[in-house]
Amino acid sequence: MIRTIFTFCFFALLVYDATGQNDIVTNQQAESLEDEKQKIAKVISSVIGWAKDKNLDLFYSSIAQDEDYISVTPGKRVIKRFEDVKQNVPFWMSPEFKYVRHELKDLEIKFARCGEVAWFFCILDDINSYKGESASWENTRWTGVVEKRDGKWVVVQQHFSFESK
Amino acid sequence: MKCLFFMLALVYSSQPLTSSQNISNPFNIQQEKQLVEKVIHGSIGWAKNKDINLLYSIIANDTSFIEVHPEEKVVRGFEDFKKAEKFWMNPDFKAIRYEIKDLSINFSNSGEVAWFFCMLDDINEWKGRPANWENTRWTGVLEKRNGKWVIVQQHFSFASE
Repeated sequence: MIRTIFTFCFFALLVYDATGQNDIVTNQQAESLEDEKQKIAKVISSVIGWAKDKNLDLFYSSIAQDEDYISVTPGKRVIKRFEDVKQNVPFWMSPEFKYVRHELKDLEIKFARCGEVAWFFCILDDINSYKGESASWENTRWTGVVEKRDGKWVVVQQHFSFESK
Repeated sequence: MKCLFFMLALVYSSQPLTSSQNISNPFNIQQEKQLVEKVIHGSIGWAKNKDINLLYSIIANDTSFIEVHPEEKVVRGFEDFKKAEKFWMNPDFKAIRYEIKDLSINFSNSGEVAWFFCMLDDINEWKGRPANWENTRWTGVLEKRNGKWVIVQQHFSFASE
């Protein structure tokens, strides 16, 4: 009798685990994944869009504030830690630097299986002016990695480049 | 009866523990760095002996793989990636040497994802002429899948003047 009860309970638990409950979780996960994608897209956009209102706090909260942060720019500059980002601040915050608009095209976000990391690709138009002259990045290939830290997505590495002719 | 449910609970609760590697294989950053570094090297170094199987074991075999080249090309998906096989395996394509400089590798908190930056000199010949990528900025992302690191996205570029 005990063996029968044991066997019944054991298989009941396996079936419970392998069928309906998992389907429900999968649907919830799909919705959650879409939510997370939207959050990531917002963070990625903020890495450029903060300049509209010169909201430096928004920019700093969108990137990893650590020694391992890396940002490869289309020019020769490679930023290799968060502190180096600050070297550009006088330029960005100057009244001569004016944000015009930005657009992310063809954005693709892929999640790691752990769900706590994602990587992205898009084409960026970042249109600005400095002293009335164009200071834009157009048709920029932009890839990067985001990690969820303390419940918030942050860009931990990014790479901007122009096509080489 | 209590004993029965205790055993049942034990059997059931042991499943996630045995499937997770957290207890049996704690994350060893130095060891994982070496493995990731080997994969990064393999993704260029395979060409010396034209070991295409090595390359294909390193690149994520899925539709979402992305590779940005210094020129206009953006490879989208593993099948697209394989189109270059004709060029690489042609006897007119010869790998001369490669060098990876300034490599930095970082891991996610989960230990299941790594990303890297380095400078690459990839020196080759095509029909006796140079076919090189020199001073190439190379970033990428790797994911540990079934115990093996694979490259899921990479971006090569030249600094713009």
